[in-house]
Amino acid sequence: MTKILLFGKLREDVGQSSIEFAGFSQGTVGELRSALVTSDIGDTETFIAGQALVAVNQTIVDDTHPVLPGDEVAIFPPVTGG
Amino acid sequence: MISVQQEDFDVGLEYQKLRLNSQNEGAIVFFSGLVRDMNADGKVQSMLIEHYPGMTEKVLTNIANEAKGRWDLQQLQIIHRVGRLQAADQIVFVATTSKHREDAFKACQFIMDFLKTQAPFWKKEISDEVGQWVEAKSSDQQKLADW
Repeated sequence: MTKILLFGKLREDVGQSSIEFAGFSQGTVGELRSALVTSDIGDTETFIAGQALVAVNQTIVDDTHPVLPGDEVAIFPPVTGG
Repeated sequence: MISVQQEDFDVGLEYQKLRLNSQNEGAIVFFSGLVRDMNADGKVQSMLIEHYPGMTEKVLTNIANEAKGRWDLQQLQIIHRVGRLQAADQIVFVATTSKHREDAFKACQFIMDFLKTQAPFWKKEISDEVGQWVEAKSSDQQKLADW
């Protein structure tokens, strides 16, 4: 079980600001993406597989980065501040 | 100093604080960003800015520290607003002070370029009560290569 925070359009598409995702406990960010794409969390698969950014412990990381139990994981669209 | 806030800010007041705190600085550079009232699809009445509390402050602190490492800066300030804003409202303020203008100019632009592509804010433009999430621009991403 991994808690995933969602922001922006992704939060709105899923309809929740965080999800408890049972399909993943630990592995790499790439493996988390793959697990999410094959899961049923609304119409967001393409988005999660493609352009969505992943932050682990509040740092944006690439697909090789590990996700360990207890890490703070967040997925969101490319940022548009400023 | 870094602040993520709902409240508006007063550029004149922020400038005076930097000036009065200055010690042998010869340059203050600042940028302020506003809500535009038009986008490609027409008129924008208001904007919602969402952020990731905690990570936002962490990223802005990292960007500020990177700027301080690259240039000779005395003071540095970043203010970014969140929540609901109206057309022409102020969104962001970045100020740098230095002995010389070149460092202050470059650092201010560097901070804005990285803020736009790294700091976790998301804008939603609202027109006639219909919201549209702003999409990230590849041109913003390309600017990072200049640094």
